Amino acid sequence: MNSVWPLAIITFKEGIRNRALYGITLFALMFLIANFLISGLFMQDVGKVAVDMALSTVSFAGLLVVLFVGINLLAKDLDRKTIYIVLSRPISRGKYIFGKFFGLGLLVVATMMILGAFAIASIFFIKMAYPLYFPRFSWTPVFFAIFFSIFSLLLLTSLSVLFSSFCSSSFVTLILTIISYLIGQSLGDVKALVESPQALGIEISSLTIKFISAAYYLFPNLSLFDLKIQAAHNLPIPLEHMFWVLVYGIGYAVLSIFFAALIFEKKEFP
Amino acid sequence: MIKVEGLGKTYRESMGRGRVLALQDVSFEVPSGEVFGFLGPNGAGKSTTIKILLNLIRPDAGLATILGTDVRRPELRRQVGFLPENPYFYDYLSAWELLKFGGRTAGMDEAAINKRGVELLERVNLLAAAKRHLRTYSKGMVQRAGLALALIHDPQVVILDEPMSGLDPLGRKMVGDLIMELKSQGKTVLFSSHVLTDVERFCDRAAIIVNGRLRLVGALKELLSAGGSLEDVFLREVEKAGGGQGL
Amino acid sequence: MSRRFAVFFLLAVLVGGHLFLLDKATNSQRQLLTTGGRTAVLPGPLMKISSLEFDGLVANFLFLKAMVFIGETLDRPESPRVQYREYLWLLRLLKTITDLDPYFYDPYYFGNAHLVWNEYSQGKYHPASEGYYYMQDFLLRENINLVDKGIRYRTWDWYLLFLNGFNYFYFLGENEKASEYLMEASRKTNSSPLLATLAARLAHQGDRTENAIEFLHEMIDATEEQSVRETFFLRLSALKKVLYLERAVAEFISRHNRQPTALHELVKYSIIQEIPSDPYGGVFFLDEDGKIKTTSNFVNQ
Repeated sequence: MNSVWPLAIITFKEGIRNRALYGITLFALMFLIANFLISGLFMQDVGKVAVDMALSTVSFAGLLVVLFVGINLLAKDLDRKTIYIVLSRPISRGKYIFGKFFGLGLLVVATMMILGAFAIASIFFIKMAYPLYFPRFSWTPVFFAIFFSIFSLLLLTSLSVLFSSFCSSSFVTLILTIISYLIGQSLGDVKALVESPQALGIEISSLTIKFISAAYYLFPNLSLFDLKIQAAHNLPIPLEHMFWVLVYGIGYAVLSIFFAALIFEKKEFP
Repeated sequence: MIKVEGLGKTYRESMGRGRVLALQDVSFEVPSGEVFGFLGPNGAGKSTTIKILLNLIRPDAGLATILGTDVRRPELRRQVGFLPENPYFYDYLSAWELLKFGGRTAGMDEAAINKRGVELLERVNLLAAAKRHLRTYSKGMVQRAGLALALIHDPQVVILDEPMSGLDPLGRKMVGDLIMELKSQGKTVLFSSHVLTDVERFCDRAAIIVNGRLRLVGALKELLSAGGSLEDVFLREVEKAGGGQGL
Repeated sequence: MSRRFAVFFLLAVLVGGHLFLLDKATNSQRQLLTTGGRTAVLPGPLMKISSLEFDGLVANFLFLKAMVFIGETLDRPESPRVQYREYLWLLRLLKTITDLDPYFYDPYYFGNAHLVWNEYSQGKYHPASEGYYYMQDFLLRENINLVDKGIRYRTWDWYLLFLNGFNYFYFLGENEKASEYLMEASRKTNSSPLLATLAARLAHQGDRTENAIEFLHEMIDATEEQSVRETFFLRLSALKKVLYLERAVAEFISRHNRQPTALHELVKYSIIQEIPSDPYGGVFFLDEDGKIKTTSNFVNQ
């Protein structure tokens, strides 16, 4: 642990001071202010729209942080050879991967906490302005939704660490991570569609079904972590569901980091 | 001490099936307390050898040990300081944070890091800039910060890859003084360079590597005994090997 | 000096050129054929896939689009204000929105307000004509399906049950079905206490106008959008006059043991002072089947 932690700290510091992070936060803030105007346009379900907008903004900004700050931090180590000064310390390859992942995780959690606080403030003020239009509102599912959104981003981060362990360029890592995100978010809906194609009146070949179920086991099912609709309508979220999703997420992240460490062990840095 | 036995390394070209021979049967030894110069034209295998010593590259053949320990063991690097060629550090960290990182990973306690850190920053003349982000540093300042990082944990063995490159005369003198100081403290220093006068000034012994093969190893006096300056010896060896893509 | 002038001149030309070209380009854009705001609507399942984790957000923006579209039609001079195919587009859009977020209240409410309460459903266009009758019926039944979807998801909501209760009662004349919806609605928390009575009354045939008046009172209470409220108010005042006339006819029958030949007879026999005027601008008359009707057919003249 004594070499994982210092690496996590410098990774976090390098990330949190990145200018891109300020840009992303500013974008999120603008959206959250706009939330005030936009949710006011709706007739009845103002509370739902306000929660939707706030939580979506946080998720999207967090995604940008993972894709453009997180991956950049991983890739710069390899592209600009900053990894030399890290690996020439008494740090094993495995600990390098852990340290880097912890640093990135810290960065994601910290930025999401700040963005989440902004989002809660924006919901709070809209609720003050339109108290009658929040008939079913409750804060608890909103907190759960933010928490699980952070968790899905951590999962995505672990995947980006895995990709950067074998990709030669940061661009490839970025593309692979984006693809995983897209697949991970839509996989649940795609599978639902494939299982009942009559909803669209289309036929699906058995090959496609096999392909999709292969992807289903390979990619993380990120849509499991999406509780925005539940938060927006204060729908019940069973504790059992949250427990299993959490354990699933931890399992998948550990698996990716483990693979990343294995691959990294063999890597050379000419 | 540093010991290298029969190192061999072939790189695969990234596309296609071409292979590039980087090192072939390289063996040498650097006894404790010695300053060892590692000479060779660009692309001769100096950096490859040094990266093998730091476990950044794995040799196809041979074994490298430092202080009797296999270089693949991470704990060994508590005893090793390294300055990469053209070092590049994180943009938004300060030199001070960099040194803290170096000290902590080497298992030093905070008091020791603070004491040693201030001393070193003063020594490399960066104390005034210690809290500034590294991206505002000039090339020479980055090089000096790298030196401080390499030495923060007071290593027994110091490996410097082209430590003089990109430095102005004042900086070169400072690095030279540092090397002499390390020598007086009984540390083992291995540094690569293609600036021959530097090697002549500081080294006890030197090795010349061309096209991945070690051409000459020995005390500086022995190398020079054949006549002429180190430059003559060097050029002769490069020519004999039929290589050297220009210095 | 001359160099400075040249730089200034060049800058002026470039900035002026930029403004000119921007104007040209935006004007030429108008020549492009547009869809008039009605872009293609992806079916719900596909939209759900492509909106990733932002289903709710996309539903919000699609719904804004629906509102903007209807808002713009309010300025249209032509009649019918909204074409039938535009309602079909709106229906598709609302279906997709409610696929993305089936718990979202506004699209059900909005759909009911526009797909049902429109020029087609109110029979302005030759209620006897086959085609229009079909259109009205189609929009109505699709809307009932849409509201039913909302009822399935929004299990806490009494108002959607109430809306479909009204649709069955008023537009389809299926009192039994309407009564079922209202009974269900009366069991929800926060529902209006009058729903149970209304449901019980619907179970008996007859009293159609009185029941409609009850319904409209409820709907006005639960409605905030001013234009929709006005629609309801207008209908309410017309129905109150119809009820007044119906009661007068009943009185006439009980006194004279026969149907009045026309509404004038009610005035002639001093049952009422005068025939009230139709707030829609038409004239009330007694139809051959004994029912009170109006030449306006409850549509603004």
